[in-house]
Amino acid sequence: MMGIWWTARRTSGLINYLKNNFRVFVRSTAQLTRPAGGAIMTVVAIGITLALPALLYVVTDNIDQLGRNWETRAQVNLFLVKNVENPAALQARLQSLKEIDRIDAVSPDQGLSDFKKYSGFARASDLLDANPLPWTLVVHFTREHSNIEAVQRFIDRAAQLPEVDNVRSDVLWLKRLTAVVEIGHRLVWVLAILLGLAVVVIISNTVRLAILSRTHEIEVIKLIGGTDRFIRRPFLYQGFVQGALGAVTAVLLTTICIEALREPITGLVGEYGSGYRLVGLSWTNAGVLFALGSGLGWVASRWSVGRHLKDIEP
Amino acid sequence: MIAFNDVTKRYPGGHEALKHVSFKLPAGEMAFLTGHSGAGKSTLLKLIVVIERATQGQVVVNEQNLTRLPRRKLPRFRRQIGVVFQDHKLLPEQTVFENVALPLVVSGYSPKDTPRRVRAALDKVGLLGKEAMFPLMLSGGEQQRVGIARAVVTRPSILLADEPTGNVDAAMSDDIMDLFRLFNQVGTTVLVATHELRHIERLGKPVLCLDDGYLVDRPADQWID
Ligand SMILES: Nc1ncnc2c1ncn2[C@@H]1O[C@H](COP(=O)(O)OP(=O)(O)OP(=O)(O)O)[C@@H](O)[C@H]1O
Ligand SMILES: [Mg+2]
Repeated sequence: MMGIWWTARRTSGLINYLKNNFRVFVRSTAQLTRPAGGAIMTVVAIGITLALPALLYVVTDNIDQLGRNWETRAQVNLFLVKNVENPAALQARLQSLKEIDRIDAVSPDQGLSDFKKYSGFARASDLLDANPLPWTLVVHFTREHSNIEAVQRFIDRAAQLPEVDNVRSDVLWLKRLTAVVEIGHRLVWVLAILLGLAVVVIISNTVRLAILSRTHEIEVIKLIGGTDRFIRRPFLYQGFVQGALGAVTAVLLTTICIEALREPITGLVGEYGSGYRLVGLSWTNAGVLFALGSGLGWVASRWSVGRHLKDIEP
Repeated sequence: MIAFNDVTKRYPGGHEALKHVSFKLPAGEMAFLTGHSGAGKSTLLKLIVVIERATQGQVVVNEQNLTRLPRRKLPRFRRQIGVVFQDHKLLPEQTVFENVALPLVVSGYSPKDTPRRVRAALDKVGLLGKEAMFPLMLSGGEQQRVGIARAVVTRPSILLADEPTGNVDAAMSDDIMDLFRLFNQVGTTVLVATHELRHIERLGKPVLCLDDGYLVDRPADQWID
């Protein structure tokens, strides 16, 4: 078997320089398939490490999308006090507000029959003597005012009205969702930094082991006039390729996980009535992950090579 | 050209392996380096290839003062010197061909010339036809000759050998020494460290004799049992 440096050639001219580097690159990559190196395990470990923040990113991204989906059609339910017989006047007054698109009035009878139909407590409600439900106004916001601030402002004002007993809205839920998304985003960053460091540690360690297993070769090459650059090259490529392959593994793992989750999540979200579609890792994000993996690989191997190669003196 | 000017080498721990050594080996000359075990022969050779550096004094090789040679200039400097090691220092995972070609690869020679140069070097040491074998498949003498082929494949101006006949029989030992004389005849500066007086007498070359780190100006045979 030929050594990893074997493919290097005379370096005159840019084309030759690139050709050389490509040969060493291919050779170093081929070395990764040596079972003894455990390099495949390293690639898988890097893949899992990078897949964790990627997966969290996709999840957060989806929750974020879900929130936006809601915002496009904000809705507030006003439960009126029991003695209001006809909500038409209030309905007309509210309708004039610029943020309101449309108001549906739901009578107590209508409300009860809806409750029976959707709640599954049909029999329990038969036991009631009188209809306990008040009139309800279902307020639909215009698209442009369907944001947390506008909805919250409306809720605060509506709660002051004497005819209104209780205000119910998804806005609180949405607020929590937004907070969760914010936490998720930060967690992605924290995880990305921590696990990025883990990747650097993993790769620099495998490069260190690769250097150690070639101490004799490195000594001999130094003795016959090999430059540090010449000796360094295959190890740098090895780290770079491990990082890049690790990133590809991470993209695959993330995609597999998302696909496995697609059906149950779509089912769950579908119950809330939206035509929501789970988003996977975009091409751009896959590209970012790839750049990150190979970049970390390069940095890690540079660092490791810099630290360990100078210890080997003939 | 190799010149030592009042060179002292003290190893970490304080042992002085060379003491005030001065000599000059002109370009194109051949000399033997001899002395008892531990006299400092290997140390002297190591100073020439800058595996070790002099504690005091100056080592000058091919007009380059090695005391002041920065680390980054070492590779280019070392390409002027071929070294034959007592323990061969061959790469066991590479074939004979690859081992001999390594200096060419390292120094960036044209790949087109590589097979021709490697075969020429192997031909000189009588190993043509063994290119595809691995070092461990060869006898000790053959391995030593692969080491010699590797040392001369780039046609260095200086050839150093540390006990090149350490573990081969007398006939093979003579062959190897004759090879060094041959390289010297085509203009290479050659310095060979050896215990074997037989060669010194047979080839009639000048002798540098070390005794406990001092270069002594006496006939070599008095200093070796
Ligand atoms: N790296 C080292 N650190 C400390 N002492 C050393 C080192 N290398 C050699 N020495 C000492 O320096 C002295 C000279 O060693 P050297 O190897 O030059 O001897 P030599 O003449 O080549 O001997 P031999 O014929 O046995 O090879 C010895 O006493 C040895 O113990
Ligand atoms: Mg010695």
